[in-house]
Amino acid sequence: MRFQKETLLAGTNSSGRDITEARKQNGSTEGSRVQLGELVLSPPKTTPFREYSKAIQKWEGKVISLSGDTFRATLSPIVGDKLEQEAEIYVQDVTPDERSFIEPGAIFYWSIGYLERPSGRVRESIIRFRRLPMWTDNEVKKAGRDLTVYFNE
Amino acid sequence: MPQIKIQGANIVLIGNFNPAIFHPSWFAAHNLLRAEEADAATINIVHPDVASFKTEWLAVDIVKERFQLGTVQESFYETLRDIVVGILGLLSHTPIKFMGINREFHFDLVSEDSWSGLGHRLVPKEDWNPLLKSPGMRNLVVEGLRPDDLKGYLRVMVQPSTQIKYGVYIEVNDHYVLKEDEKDVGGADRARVVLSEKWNESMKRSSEIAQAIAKLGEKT
Repeated sequence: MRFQKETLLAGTNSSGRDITEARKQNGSTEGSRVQLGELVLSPPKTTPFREYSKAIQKWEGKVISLSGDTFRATLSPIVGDKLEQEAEIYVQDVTPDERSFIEPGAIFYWSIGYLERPSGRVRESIIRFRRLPMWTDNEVKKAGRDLTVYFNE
Repeated sequence: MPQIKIQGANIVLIGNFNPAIFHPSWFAAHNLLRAEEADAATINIVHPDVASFKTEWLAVDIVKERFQLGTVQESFYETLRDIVVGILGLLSHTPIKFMGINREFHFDLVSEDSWSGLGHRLVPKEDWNPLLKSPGMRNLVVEGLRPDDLKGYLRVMVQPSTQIKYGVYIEVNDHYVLKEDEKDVGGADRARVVLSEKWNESMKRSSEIAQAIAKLGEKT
């Protein structure tokens, strides 16, 4: 750990305790002050990302069926062309340790775009399966709770 | 037309956390990250007071009162959300008071005219010229009420970009209040519901706000 000058984005007019801004000075993270024993330090700057990706087209997919070396899925657009569609996708396009997730009902994200690297631009296609369940409308209703109940005065 | 050159998303939680547990191996053990990703992580520190590490696409920075996960790879925005939803499910008793769903953008405004025009549009210089020599906007923060029935606010920060010549950095902080007094429990569950239900809307809104601001320089 090395000492760093602390940067308080909030300035002197706020305690900063409730700020959920990322506290980034223009993309670089300045960490909170941390007490480690007798030392008061700012954590080291996180190494800046050198690679940035931009999606040209991104879908949330839902597996319909698996057959041999392909699976069929519905695709709901997140970025790009707004058309809902079905696709047949090669299993080998999925990273090996995620292929066990391929079963009817499984949710995945498929992003096609560019990865900007120091060495140049690379076209990428990434399929990534959702690993944990999400709250659905039915689950929220079943719990007998509505979002506004949580937050209203 | 302003072009997005760099963009990112991050989720910030304000509450009470135990940074020591947030080791990459914990993420892998709970199926939040692939084992290979966890093994390849660059760890700055994992300590009872602070946890900080990066994977190929994910940045994790956690202290006792503040939890922040983020990425600058658009391909992984939804995976980022899923990881935080997963953590909130695993740590459902964690007291959480506030949550921010945040977007950041570096726009290339291409020309000095558009770049200085945007600064002048947001912070007109007429009143500043008598006070300062060559005043220029360095940091602008504007906050507005939430457009929905939830408690919190929207806060937008605009700065000249340090990454792009004639660029502008815009951050949109979509802030939710999850609990208001210490006796109130359930912040983690509420955060999980908000993330699940409001993510798409938040992402879209923040992008529209940032795009609209970046275009202001073209209208001067």
